[in-house]
Amino acid sequence: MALTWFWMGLFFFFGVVFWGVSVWAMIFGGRDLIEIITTENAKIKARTQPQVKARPAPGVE
Amino acid sequence: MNFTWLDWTIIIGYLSLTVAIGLYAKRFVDDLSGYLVAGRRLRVGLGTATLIATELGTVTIMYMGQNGYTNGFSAMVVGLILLTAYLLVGQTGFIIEGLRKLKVMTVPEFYELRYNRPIRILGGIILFAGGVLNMGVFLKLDGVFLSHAMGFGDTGVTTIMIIMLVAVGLYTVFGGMLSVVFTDYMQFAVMSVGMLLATIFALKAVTIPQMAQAVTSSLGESGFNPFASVDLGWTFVIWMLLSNFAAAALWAPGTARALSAESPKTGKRVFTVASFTFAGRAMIPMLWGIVALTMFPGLTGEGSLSAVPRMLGAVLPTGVIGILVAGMLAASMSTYSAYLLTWASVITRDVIALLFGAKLSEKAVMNITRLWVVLIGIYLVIFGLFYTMPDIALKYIFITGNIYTAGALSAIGFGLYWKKANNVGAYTSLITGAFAPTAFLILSEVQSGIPSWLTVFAKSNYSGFISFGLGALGMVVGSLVSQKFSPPKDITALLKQEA
Repeated sequence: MALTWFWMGLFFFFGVVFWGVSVWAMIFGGRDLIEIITTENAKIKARTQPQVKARPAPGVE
Repeated sequence: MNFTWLDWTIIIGYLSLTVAIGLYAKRFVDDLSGYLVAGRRLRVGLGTATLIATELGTVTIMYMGQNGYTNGFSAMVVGLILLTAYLLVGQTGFIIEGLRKLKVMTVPEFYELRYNRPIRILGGIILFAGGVLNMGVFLKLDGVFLSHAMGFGDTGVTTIMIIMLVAVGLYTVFGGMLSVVFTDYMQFAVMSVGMLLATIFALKAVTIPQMAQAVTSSLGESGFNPFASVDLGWTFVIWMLLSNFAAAALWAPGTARALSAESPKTGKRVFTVASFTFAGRAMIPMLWGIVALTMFPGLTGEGSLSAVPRMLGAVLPTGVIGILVAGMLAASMSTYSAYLLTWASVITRDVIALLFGAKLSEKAVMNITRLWVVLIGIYLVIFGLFYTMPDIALKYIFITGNIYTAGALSAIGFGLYWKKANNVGAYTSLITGAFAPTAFLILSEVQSGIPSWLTVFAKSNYSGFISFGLGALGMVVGSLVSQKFSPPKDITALLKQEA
């Protein structure tokens, strides 16, 4: 039974670590993902919008 | 039938959402680096989530669970080995840091940079062969899992295999690595919740003393002490250490996360953080295997593969089984998409494009990669239906991986850190490294009439273990005897440049 408890102890410890790191990665990964989406959407918007030509200042040829 | 309308609603809703998100990511892919390495935009959080998701498929649950069922608590030693291997690679940056600094998109690109083009082609072919053989059983194992967990038994396996593959193929073909990253993230979240719920219900179904009793009566001392086990033992532990260390450093789908990282430092941090989950990744399904052994003892051969899904189908209530199956589908899809993309890009970029010599446009390379995703998918269905594994799934997965990792560990490791490594050494290490695992796969089909001197190769533990020695020996001897006519290439300047 001692060996069973040894392995079960390891299981519970690494189980907590697994789900702990998973929650951390979900939070920070989600933040990174939102940033990628925002940046890429801005790039696409900039590419698809027609370039407005700046009017020359009065008196400038 | 274990499934009710609630479970079906969860599954169908989830599958549709995943494919939609994968296709949505396509709009952000405008060049090859966007397709293959997500434009090198991954930071630690997202890189970690996607690395864990890629390395955690239903196939992982199946082969780890089967190992728990056949070897009891002893199997959990694999979890400790995985933790050690990935932590070592993350902390030292062994191989992954060098590859990321060199800005290669696939592992074989390194061969051309450090050695020459024919070595890149040979390395690409060996990597592709090992990779697709390794992946060959994924679909079958996943089909068995899902079919048994859903209550279809063996009858639903083929249909489930095809549906899964079509869904994954769709978004991998169109979206590339960014789709993989997007869907990985979502799948990672569902999988974590599903695994937690399954563990709670499995532990409610049997008590710890009941598990101890079941392991004792089925396996005796070898169920608790991995070194006393005939199936495991010292050779298995050393083989697993070497294999996992090599896999952590250069198993292409995982290494792709380091190559996609925004910097070499980020790549190392991703591996370090993810390493802490790798022990749990192995031990959780192994515990399910032990619970299955307690509930359904006596399953042998490939029959033992169905133990974990049968147990889950029996202990999980309606709704929870829907979430778990969605999580498992999620895990499979993220693994398939990453693996399909990796092997397809290797055969396209590192073999076909180079063999034909023509300068292919980026668009052509992307389209050929997509075609290979489809071809590998068809192969997976055929191989999965007709092939019978010669050993437990875990050993099959690692021995096929060794076809590539055993030689590549020396070719890439020595190539990065040993100035005398040259072309001859790279050729010999790749070939000698692949020899023992290939011999095992062939000999296990022959079964009888094997000459006595070859019997050592017919045992997966020895064959896998020897392959790393042969790979290293091939590199060292090959390089040392040929220094004069094959002078090594110096890449120190490339490694020192800004990433």
